[in-house]
Parts: sequence; structure tokens; C-alpha cells
Amino acid sequence: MSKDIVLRVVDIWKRFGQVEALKGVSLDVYRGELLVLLGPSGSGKSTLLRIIAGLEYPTSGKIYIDGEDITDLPPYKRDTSMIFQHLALFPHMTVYDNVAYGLKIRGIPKDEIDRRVDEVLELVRIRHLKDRKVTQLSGGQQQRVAIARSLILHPKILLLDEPLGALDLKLRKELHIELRRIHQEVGNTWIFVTHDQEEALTLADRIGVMNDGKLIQIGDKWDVYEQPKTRFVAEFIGETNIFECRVVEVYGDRVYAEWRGLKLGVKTDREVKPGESMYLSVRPEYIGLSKDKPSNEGYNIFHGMITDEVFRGSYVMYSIKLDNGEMVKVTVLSKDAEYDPGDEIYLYWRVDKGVPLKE
Amino acid sequence: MKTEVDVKRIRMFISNIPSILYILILFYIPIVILLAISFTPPRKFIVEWVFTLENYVNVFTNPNYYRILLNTFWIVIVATIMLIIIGFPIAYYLARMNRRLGAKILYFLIIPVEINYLIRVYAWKVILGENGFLNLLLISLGIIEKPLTIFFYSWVAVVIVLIHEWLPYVIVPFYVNLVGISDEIYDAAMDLGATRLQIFRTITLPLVKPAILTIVFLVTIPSLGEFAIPYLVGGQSGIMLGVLIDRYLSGFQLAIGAALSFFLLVITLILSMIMIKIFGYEALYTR
Amino acid sequence: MVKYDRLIRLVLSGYTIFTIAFFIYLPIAVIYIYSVNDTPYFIPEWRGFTLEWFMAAFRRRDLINSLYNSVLIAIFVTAVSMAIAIPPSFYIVRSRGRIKNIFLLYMMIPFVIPWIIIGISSYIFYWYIGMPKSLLTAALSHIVYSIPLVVTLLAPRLYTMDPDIENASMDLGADPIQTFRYIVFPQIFPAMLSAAVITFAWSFDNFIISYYTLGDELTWPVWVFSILGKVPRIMPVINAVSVIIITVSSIALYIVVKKGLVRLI
Repeated sequence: MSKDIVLRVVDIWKRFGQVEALKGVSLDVYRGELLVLLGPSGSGKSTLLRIIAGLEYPTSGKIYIDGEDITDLPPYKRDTSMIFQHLALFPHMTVYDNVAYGLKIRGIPKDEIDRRVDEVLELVRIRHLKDRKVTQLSGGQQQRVAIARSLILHPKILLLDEPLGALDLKLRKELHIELRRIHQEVGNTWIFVTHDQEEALTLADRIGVMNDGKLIQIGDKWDVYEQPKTRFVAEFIGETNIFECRVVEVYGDRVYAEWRGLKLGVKTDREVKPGESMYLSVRPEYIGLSKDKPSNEGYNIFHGMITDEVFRGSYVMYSIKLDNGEMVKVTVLSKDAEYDPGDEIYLYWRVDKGVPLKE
Repeated sequence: MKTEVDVKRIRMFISNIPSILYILILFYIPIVILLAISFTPPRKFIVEWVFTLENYVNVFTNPNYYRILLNTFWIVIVATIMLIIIGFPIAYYLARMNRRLGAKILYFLIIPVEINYLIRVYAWKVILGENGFLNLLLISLGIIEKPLTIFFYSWVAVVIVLIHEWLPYVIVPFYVNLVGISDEIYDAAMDLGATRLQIFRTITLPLVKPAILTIVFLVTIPSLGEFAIPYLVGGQSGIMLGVLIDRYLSGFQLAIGAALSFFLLVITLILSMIMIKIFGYEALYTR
Repeated sequence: MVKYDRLIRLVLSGYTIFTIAFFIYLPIAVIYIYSVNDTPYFIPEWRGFTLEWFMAAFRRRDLINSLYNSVLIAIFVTAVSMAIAIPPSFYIVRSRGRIKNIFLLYMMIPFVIPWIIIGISSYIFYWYIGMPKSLLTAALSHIVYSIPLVVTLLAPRLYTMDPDIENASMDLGADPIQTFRYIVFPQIFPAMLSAAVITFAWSFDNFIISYYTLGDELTWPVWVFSILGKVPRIMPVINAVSVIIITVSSIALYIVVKKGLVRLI
């Protein structure tokens, strides 16, 4: 993918009365990518989306699309289109009328509207529902109408504000696949807002994590998952174990830290000094289990006892109480889950799988 | 299992018997008697049980009835349209621009309704009557020389008083309806490129249709049978069907009165049926 | 764009306040002023302050009687129509199909016709069966309208009630009466109270049905009608009573709304 920037968000601040919803967010979005903005409710992600759409205006900051400053343009003069949380389908209209709305408003001739409606309904695979009232459709079908209604305008950027929130899990998973297919076929830029980390990992090319009005980390989804920068990101995306420890010895990029009486090896590019405190994130799936003491070089190895197991379908999550009294979560593929609560066990992880975090 | 459902159904049926019987005895049977009497010859003080269509022939041929009937429709239609024109912007303002004030002002809209409308009608006389405030004001401003009588004892007075009586009943349904349309719908229309005027025409107006239905049931249909307002302030040009019916009933000419009443009933039922056709059965009890 | 917005807002807010203050409240102001204006006539002139009309109101037996009768009828109508109208409200909300639609139409026709037709058909009915007109006949005829009125007020609220809650109650061993008493009733109580308040106010204020169905005892609106225009000297007394009614009922309404017992919409 060429790194051609289509949308540039520069230092956006937004204040609602006393509340600072956005505190200086800057962001570049590449042409053709699917960027997911992930964050808890109230993190400012929806506000950012509405500012990009032109439904709100920023207190300060600039927005550029293809180099052109659009900060003060009303929504109908922007090359963006939004899919709303509750879809906002017009309840008094049919599927056709909903989808054709943007074109009718612009006075496009009827035969061209018909052609483009057919085309876009074909794309989202609901052409047979063209004459239904939108209120008679299922949740998934309504999603498709909302997508078609926006895509028919060929927006440069499609903005999606948690549109799948109200659907059940199975339907959501179906639509994730559909959304990726549609995104690939259309080829324009999508920004998808969600608070669901699983949804973010499924859909995204890149993920931007937001909290408390700030963009905390943005990057390729693997990077964000494997190399979280802060404790918030590590805990928000996926499951993790956080070890609160103190640096004891430093040898170049190799650091030894003390964690509740145990000694941990850590690999880090950061400058650290002995005595400073440090958080270490280790994903449960990167921790291995063994009945016999493993003797691998470059691993952290500890001893403990399994206290609980939870079956989660394709994997099993064990809770393990270490000899120093701390609890650690470990996931193991179900086919390899041969342990029971009460078993004495060794657990180990490669030193470079522990990610040191800034608080 | 099946018997359980049957028991439920039977219990439900039994609990509905009082309402069915009540409406039957005190509404449908009286209506049937009314209908029967409307087919008897027009006599004073007595009802002669002989079948005739005389009264109905009269309704359709007597130019006097005709005039009053048209007058009734004219007044009610003008009042309804004026009510919508006056009431909608207020509801729109309260529901979409100032929702905080909206919830409070509804209370102030209800207070005037607590005064019986007959008394309010009379208060209007002080404002609109021959020696009323409005004439006084117009004379002192030099716009007119002699007091105008068109404000009172005329169809205009009936329309003004009807508007005053029903305005809260028009604002509230519009308000409820408009508050129910989510902001997202407006945002979506704007995002798709609609201007303010286009949003109003393509989104707001079609979505307030249910309120218009409520208003027809709540305002227009009762107004068609209005008797006291035209009687008190209507004069010659403001005469309505209700006044005519009352004239025959107080003269104990039951047959003609019954025929006119039944005629009014049929008209309002046709109007209701049209509404139900457009909006569905649920329109009868959902707002 | 934003400027245009402000202009519309300004115009609409001015219009709203003007209409409410100078149209809706104009006759109310007139009634208030003439209830203390020292003249028995509706003349556009201030003759000084008096409380005479309030005193006079309490001295008039016929007036006090009519108010008493109105309250009596309104209480009776509210109680009876609430009791009769609850089952059909549930039935309409909980069932589907043709029979329900026919039933709905049957119940609702009295609601969608002018009141004068209820008045006149009752008038002829009581005459036909030889029942002397009285407060009772008037109340019975009010109920014809107030049954569907209560249904329209209750049904929308019942819609939002989950029938499974009742099933859960029965499942836990409560019989239908206990279920109604402990589960259904507390849930629909606010809606019932609103419906009762509105029904009471409607019946208290109804003129036209009472006009055709009352005997010698009059209700407040019918008594007012008998005075209007015929005995102009009594008008200020009526104004005084109206002032009392509006003041008391507004305060009562304010309190029940504030306490959340009744919702305005």
C-alpha cells in the first residue's frame, strides 16, 4: 500500500462547556486503508469522527482532505459520509428511497439514480429488498442499507460510528467479513470507530487507540497488539498480565527486574536505570506451561500451582498462583490443555515477549 | 399446556364483557334508536313510528341546511389549518431548538385548559366585542372610526375561539412527535448532502404525519359537532351544524334532529375511516 | 450558516413567547383582571380593586351546588371507567388479528365522533326508555366516552411492559390476582394515575354531554352556560370561581408533576 495521505487531522481540540472531549489529536490517514479508532466510551473517538464529518466543529485545530483545508465546511460540502451508531435510516422511506436520498437531493436524473442504486445494492447484496420499507428489515439488512446509502455518493472517506453495536455476536462476525469484502471492492478509505477490541483486530489495517480525549497509540494492528506503549493499551486490547516490578540490573538492552521477590529478565530498547519502577505486560498466550522444569536459555521460568481453568472453546485459560503468591493468566490451545486445577506447574516465556510499558 | 392457554383466553374474554356491554347498551343501542327515529316523519313533541326518508331528503335538498353544512366545514377546516400553521412552529421550536424550555412550557400550555372553555369564550368578548379592547385600540390608533363588529358574532370569532380552545392540543402532539425523531436522523440527512430546507421537506414533514392524525381525531372531528361556541359568538355567519341540531332538539323535533345527528355521525366516521386507512388501526390508540 | 441558524432561533423563540403570552394567556388575564375589577360588567375600564366577587361566589347556593355536582360526577366517572377500561387496554395491546381489530374499532368509535352525538343519542335513549334525567344519567353518558379515553391513555404505556415479567411472577407461584396486585399494578400505577387525572378533568369540564343528559341538578359548565349572556351581573362571580379553579388545579398539577406521579406527555 502506498503511503499516500488522504486525511490529515492536526491538533484538534474540542470543548463542550466545561468538558474537554478532545485534547490535541493529530492523525494521518492513508488512502485506501481501513483505520479503526478504538477506545472506551467517552474517550472522544465519536466526537473526532463527527468533526471529520462536519457535524461538529473543533474548538481549535485543522482538518485537511487531500491537502485542502475543510475545517469550516458544512457536511454537505465534504467528501465524507457517515454511518451512524443507530444507522439513522429514514423510517418513512423504502430501501430504494433511503439509498437514493443523497442523489435525489443533488438533482441527479432518475435513470442515473436507478442505475447507481442497483449497482450499490448489488455490491451490498440486498438488491431484492429494494422496495421494502426499511422498518421491515432485519438488523443485518438495515446495516447494508446504511452502507449502501453512504457508498452511493462515492465518498473519499467513509466514517463508521460503531454501527454494529446493536447486533448479536454471530451476525456481527458475519458482517465483519462482509465489511472487509466491501471495503476491498470499493477501495476507498474507511475510519471505523468501536470500543470492541476484537472487532478492531478483525477489521483493521491500522488501529488507533484513544483514551480521555487523546490518541495514545496508532499503528499496524500487530504492532499495537504486540508492542503496546502504555498499560492502558495493553489492557484494553486483548488479555494480558501486568507485572509491577523494579529495575535491578541493566546490561545494554538486557534488564533484570525484581517482581515481588522473583527475578525477571526483560528486553528493552528504552533507557532505564536501576531502581526505577517498570510495568511489564506479558500476553497469556505467550506463556508456556510444563510439568518438568524447562531449561531453555533466554526464558523466564517460574513455578506455581493451577487454581482454576476456564474452557473458552478453542483455548483454555488457566489461573496460576506463583510461589510468591501472585496470580498469572495463561492460555493454552484446547488440544494441549492437559492440566487440572491443583497441578504443580512450571511456566515460562521468552524474555522478548515481555513488553515494558510507560504508565 | 393447551388448556392453560384456553383458560387465559376465557379469562381475558370474561374481563372484557363489562366494557363490551357498557358500550353496547349506552352507545350502540342509543345510536340505533337515533337512527330509527331519524326515519320517522318530522313531528313536534311526538314520534310517529312510520317509515319515511323525508328528513334525509330534506338534509340534501334544503338549501338552508346545505349552507349551514358548508359553513361548518369551512369554519372547521380554516380553524384546523390555522391551528397547524400557528402550532407547528411553536412545537418545532420547543422540541428541536430549546428542549429544556420545551418541557417547562408544556406545563404553561396546559394551565389555560383548566378554565372551562365557555368562560374563555366569554372573556374573548371583552377583547373582540363591539366595545372590546381590540376595537378600542384600533380606534385610538386612528385605524378605524367606528367599532367593527366582524370580530364578534361572526365566523371569524368562531375560528379565533376554536384556535384558542385547541392550540395546546395541537402543540403537544407535534411536540411529542418531533421530540421522538432522533438527532441522528437529521445528522444523517445533512451528511448525505441535504440543506436545511431539503431536510424539512423530506424528513421533518413526512415524519410528523402521525401528529396530524392525532390532531384530526383530537381537534377536527370534535369541532365538527361544536355547539356552544357558534351559539355564543357565531352570529349569523358563524352558524354550525351543532347549533341547528340543538335548535330542533330543544324544540323537541326529534326526527329532524336525529337525522342531522346521524348525518354528522356518518361524516365523522368516513373521516375516521380515511385516517385509519392511511395510518392503520394502531393509530386509534397510539400517539 | 451559523448566523442563519441564530436568526431562525431568534424569530421562532420570539414567536413562541409572543403567541403564548399574548394569545393563549390573553383571555386568562382578562378573567383574572375582571375577577377583582369593581364592576359587574365586562367593560374595558378599571373601576378599582374588590374581593366582592369572591365573597359573592360563596353565597350562591346554585353555584356551589353545581361545583359539588361536577366533582361528584367526575369522581364517579373516573372510578367506573378506570375499572371497566383496564381489561380492554390489556387485550388490545397483548393480542393480534381480526377479532382484536374489530374489538378495537367497537371500543373506539365513541372516541372518534363529536361529543354532541353521544349527548343527543343518550338524550333520545333516556327519553325512549323513560328514564328520568339526573346526575346519574349524565355520569353514565360521560363513561361512554371516558372508557375509550382511558384505553388510549393506558394502552401506549402497556406496550412497553414485558409480558414475561408476569409469566415470571406466575412461574414463581403467584396466582393471577396476586400477580396483578404485586407486579402489574405497581408498573402501571403512574399511567393509571395520569389517566385518572385526565379523565377527572375531562368529565369535570365536559359541557355538551352533560347539557343533553342532566336533569334539574346542573354541573358547573352547564350552570355557567345557563348564566352566560343571560345574567351578565353574575359574570364576575364566574370569573372569581375560575380564578380559584385555575389556581388550585395549577398548583396541584405542579406538585404531582414535580413529584413524578403524573407525566404531562
